[in-house]
Amino acid sequence: MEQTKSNRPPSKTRMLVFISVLVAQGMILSFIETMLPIPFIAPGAKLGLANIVTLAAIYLLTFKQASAVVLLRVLLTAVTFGSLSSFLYSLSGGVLSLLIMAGILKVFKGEISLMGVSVAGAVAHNIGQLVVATIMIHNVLIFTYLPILLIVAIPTGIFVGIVARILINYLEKVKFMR
Amino acid sequence: MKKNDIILMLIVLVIAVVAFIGFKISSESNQGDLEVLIKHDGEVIKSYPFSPKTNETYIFEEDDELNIIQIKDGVVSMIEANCRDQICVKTAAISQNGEIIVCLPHKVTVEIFSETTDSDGLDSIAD
Repeated sequence: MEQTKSNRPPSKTRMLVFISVLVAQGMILSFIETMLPIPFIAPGAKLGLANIVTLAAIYLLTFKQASAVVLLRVLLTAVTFGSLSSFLYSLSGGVLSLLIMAGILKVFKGEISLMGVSVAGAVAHNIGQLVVATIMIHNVLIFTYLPILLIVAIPTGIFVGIVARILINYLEKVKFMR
Repeated sequence: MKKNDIILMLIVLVIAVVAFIGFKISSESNQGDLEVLIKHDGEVIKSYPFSPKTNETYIFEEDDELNIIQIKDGVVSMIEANCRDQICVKTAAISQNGEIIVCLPHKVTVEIFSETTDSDGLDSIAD
């Protein structure tokens, strides 16, 4: 592959590779998360490591490309490790958090850090999943878990935001996108 | 961290606290005769009157799906299940009106329900 100093946009191949790497990282992070001995706090409460990758995708790529990263990750994770119902939960959570994070980043660009964006994404993810769960089990009482999930979303969102910032700084430093 | 981050997190925190207090108030204003409702796919499959003396064990079995629900010492808990995530088993035991244990993979829910909730329209705002 030719390496030039010009500022032309990244080649199609480079973009394809970058998107694929992000999808693979997201899948592996979701998988690693299931192996971490994290104490159980509430049903649905989790670290959300895959969100690191989603955040980086939204920040570095166009909305269309970031959507591809999220949808491919959700689809491939379901096919490899999951089932139809787990696919529906990740899809609703993933799509809603993608929309909210992309929206917030667009509106507040420069006025908000990745930590805030990530907390909003975590909240959107929880709400998306609770809506699907309500439909699946026909019981709206499951929303009584929302307060604790919102509380948990704050520290986990901050953590994910910090890690995403480090990842993005690194990717920009090594000029992966050029 | 910027100002908007703090504002956003405070909003999330306030919504959480308000929702928590809301659920708590609506649950405590309905401490009539409590029932434990065990539902599968939204249909009640078993109900027990619930008091501190209730001592029951219910075994849900359908195809390969198994959930064992125990009512003992004034609390209701899912003591065993063969679902893959085991979230229902890890969920803390419940004892208050409006609380719920959910086994998503098996679509089984165990909830504590106050019979007065539906007859008294003013208090049924929880939903």
